[in-house]
Amino acid sequence: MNDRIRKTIMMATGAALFALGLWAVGGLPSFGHYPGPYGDVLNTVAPHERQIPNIVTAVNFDYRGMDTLGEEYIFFAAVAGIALVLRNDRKRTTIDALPSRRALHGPDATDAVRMFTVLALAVTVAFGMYLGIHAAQTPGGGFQGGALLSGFAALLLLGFGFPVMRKILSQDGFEAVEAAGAGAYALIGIATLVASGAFLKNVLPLGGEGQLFSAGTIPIINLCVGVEVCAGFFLLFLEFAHETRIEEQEPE
Amino acid sequence: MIGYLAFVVPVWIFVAGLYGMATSRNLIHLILCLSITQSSTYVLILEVGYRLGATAPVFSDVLPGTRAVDPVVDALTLTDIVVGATVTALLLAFALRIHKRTGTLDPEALREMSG
Repeated sequence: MNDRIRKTIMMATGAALFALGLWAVGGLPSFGHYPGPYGDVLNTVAPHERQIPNIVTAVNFDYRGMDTLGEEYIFFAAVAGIALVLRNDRKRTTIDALPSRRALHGPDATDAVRMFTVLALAVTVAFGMYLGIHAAQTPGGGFQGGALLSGFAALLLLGFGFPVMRKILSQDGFEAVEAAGAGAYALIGIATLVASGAFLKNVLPLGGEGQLFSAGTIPIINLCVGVEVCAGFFLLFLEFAHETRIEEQEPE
Repeated sequence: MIGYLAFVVPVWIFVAGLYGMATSRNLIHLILCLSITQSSTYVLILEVGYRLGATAPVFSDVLPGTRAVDPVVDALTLTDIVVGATVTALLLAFALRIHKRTGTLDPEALREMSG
């Protein structure tokens, strides 16, 4: 099938799909007039019931905590899959950069780049931890905070190169941390099951709304998720950074 | 009318991404098109939960009971984005491996599956 025929067929089916989509969204409630009722019930009840201002976090880690557990394991499985796919195909690699790239960009990053990287690292760590810890009080949370913190690895790679990155970020260590974060979420679920008879029921004291330690199990689960997401993204960066290395042995 | 146009946007993003995937000549381009197609779902469900003149469902600065959008779709979108990012990374890993094995990223050149 050549490109012209493929494009023509896709144009026709795309237009049909677009028309179908237009017809379908025509049946939705009109834009800007959310009819409820679940969102409204949660917005009214949750601030008092769970002593938490951020309802999105309450939904993620409490009311819909079971779903988030599943989604966390999708993340876990994807990271494991990437490690499997890339490592399986990799021979022993050196820590030298690819020769062509070295010729292209000169030997190393300049002092100005390194200095800027250090500054950016400080901001990344501070803001990432702030976002990750204040899940209940601000529009932050473990997912966002962890993903932002993992920018640490990308900045290290850009400013200081792979050898430094590999020395600072231990692959074995982060594998253990990621697994611990994922496992802790499930263990919290089992612990609450034993304590109360319901999986992931919020059994801890709720505290006062807006305080750092409030909302029961929510900040603890949030921390587990944050640690897991951060360690998982670190592993991703390490795996992909490995791919820029030269191979000591040619693949067969 | 403007309200209806807002719902046309995710449909357009979806079809545009699909067209890109079907006509792609490069696996990296194809994976990005898949991300675009997926992002249409974020736009759609956020629009379903939107309410005119409403605030975000975080009652730190505003009193509980203030008009707010649906928190359920916000939570869904949040986890959707994380999962989408990792699935994209997984597919990129496959693309890397395919390039290593065959020396090409053109899906047209990958006629047959070979072990």
